[in-house]
Amino acid sequence: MKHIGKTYTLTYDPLDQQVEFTGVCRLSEAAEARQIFRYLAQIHDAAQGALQLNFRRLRYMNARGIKALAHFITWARRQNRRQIKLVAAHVVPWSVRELSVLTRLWSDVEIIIYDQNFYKSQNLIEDAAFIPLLRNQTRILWPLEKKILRQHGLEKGMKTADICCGCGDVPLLISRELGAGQVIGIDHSEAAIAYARNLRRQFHVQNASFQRGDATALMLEDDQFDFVLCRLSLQIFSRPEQILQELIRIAKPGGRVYAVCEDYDLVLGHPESDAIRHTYRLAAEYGDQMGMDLRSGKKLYGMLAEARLEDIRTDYLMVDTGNADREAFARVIESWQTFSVETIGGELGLNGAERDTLQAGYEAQLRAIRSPYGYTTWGLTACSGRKPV
Amino acid sequence: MATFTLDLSFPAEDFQREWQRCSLAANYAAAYAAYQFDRREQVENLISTVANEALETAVRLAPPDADLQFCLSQVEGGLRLNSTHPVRAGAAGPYLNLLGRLADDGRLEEMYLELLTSDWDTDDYFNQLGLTMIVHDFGARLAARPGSQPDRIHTEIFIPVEETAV
Repeated sequence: MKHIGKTYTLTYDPLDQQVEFTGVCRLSEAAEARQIFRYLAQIHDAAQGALQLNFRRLRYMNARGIKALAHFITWARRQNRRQIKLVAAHVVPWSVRELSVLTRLWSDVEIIIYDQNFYKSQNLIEDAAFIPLLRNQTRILWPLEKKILRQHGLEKGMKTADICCGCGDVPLLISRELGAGQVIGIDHSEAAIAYARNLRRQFHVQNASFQRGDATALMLEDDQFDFVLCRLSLQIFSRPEQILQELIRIAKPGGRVYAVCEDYDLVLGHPESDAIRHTYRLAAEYGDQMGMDLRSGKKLYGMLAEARLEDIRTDYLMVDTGNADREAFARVIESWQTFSVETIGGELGLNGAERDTLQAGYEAQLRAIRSPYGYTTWGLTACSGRKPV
Repeated sequence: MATFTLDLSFPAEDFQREWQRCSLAANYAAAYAAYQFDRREQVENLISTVANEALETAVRLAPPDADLQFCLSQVEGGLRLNSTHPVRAGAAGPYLNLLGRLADDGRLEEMYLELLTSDWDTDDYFNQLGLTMIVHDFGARLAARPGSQPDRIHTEIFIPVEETAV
């Protein structure tokens, strides 16, 4: 059941009892506001219990639009049969500011800011301090991944989107080294997007752009991109399938969706193999407590298959002391060590002994990297599938 | 930080005939201005929202054959949007009166809630609701004075970008 205006659409999903607003809702006449009111009242009568109005994909709403909502809420208060939930998001700033006033009209109106406490490790991963870690990872991963990306169908001239692009270095490399036609990078972190824009200027890349956005409600049209990436990110969300649905939505029919996830079970080393394995088992468990799944690489194939993608291709991305610059590899491990022991350890309140145990494996891995006879790996899974035509 | 001034001029009739052009013009000005700030998306959304209500106000206040002049410029702490245009007969007094009441922020919330729940057509005259919203929700500061020529009005809106976009 839909209400379609000139520049906006309201769609009711009875399964979630949710009305989703999309587009730009800047109304010119009272008659338009009345139509919205009538549509919402009709939905209100058909629903049971709580009714959710979702604004995460509505770019703008003017005062007349807010008035339509105010009239609806005043009317719903008189009916007193439903609780009303308004879903706002920081990525659509008007929603956080303009919707708040509606709670003054009725105490049964609740505002949910969807991307506040978006995922458990949000404040850590979206901080500017996380960016050096991302840059170091790219240094050792990119030489392997650019070959894998070609094998998975990323070709010259393709319109490409990198969702959860972090500091933007990979989309820029895709543009420069793989010749993508147009690249857009989207991330929820303001710090990362600001960094990406500076990097784009430094690299003089003309065909790349960056936007702040919510990976579970992208402000991008359906069926637009030849190739959609999501690297090292599905693992940090509690409901990765929501993001995957969005990746598939924006891919063209016949286009490919490509994801990379960590798999700490693939981190090995020698000598001191046991110490290294023990630390990565612990780090994965602590990751679980932070809402991350650091062993999710092996689940990717199943996720893409369940999402009904076709022609699924899977590859290991195995960084090791044989194919990576050892000093760059060591910097990555040092970054992980600090992040895991200090940042995650601090968040989880680990005591001194627990931190020492965690630290020991990273130290052992660093010794393996710096010894000419040592060997160690960082293993990930890359998986892609084709959107059915 | 670089500073800029963006001068725009439109025939009111253009907007009155096709209302969505208010939105197009507001988005254009916002996209340009937001490049000057770090939190670009947030600032763009804020500027566009405020500029759109300002444009809608001017379009409702002006007679159809009027020219609307806008100037958006960067100032300490934010942006200033100036508009100059003729006003329909009898509109200037109530408009200046409203701006006076908006400056008295002791009653701002009460006024806003009254307008939100008033009859559908109450704010048609010159977008009282939109102006009240940008003051209430976005901390915009408004001032207006009669222009140098009769039946013209000059409005100045300060948008506190630095304190609002957090």
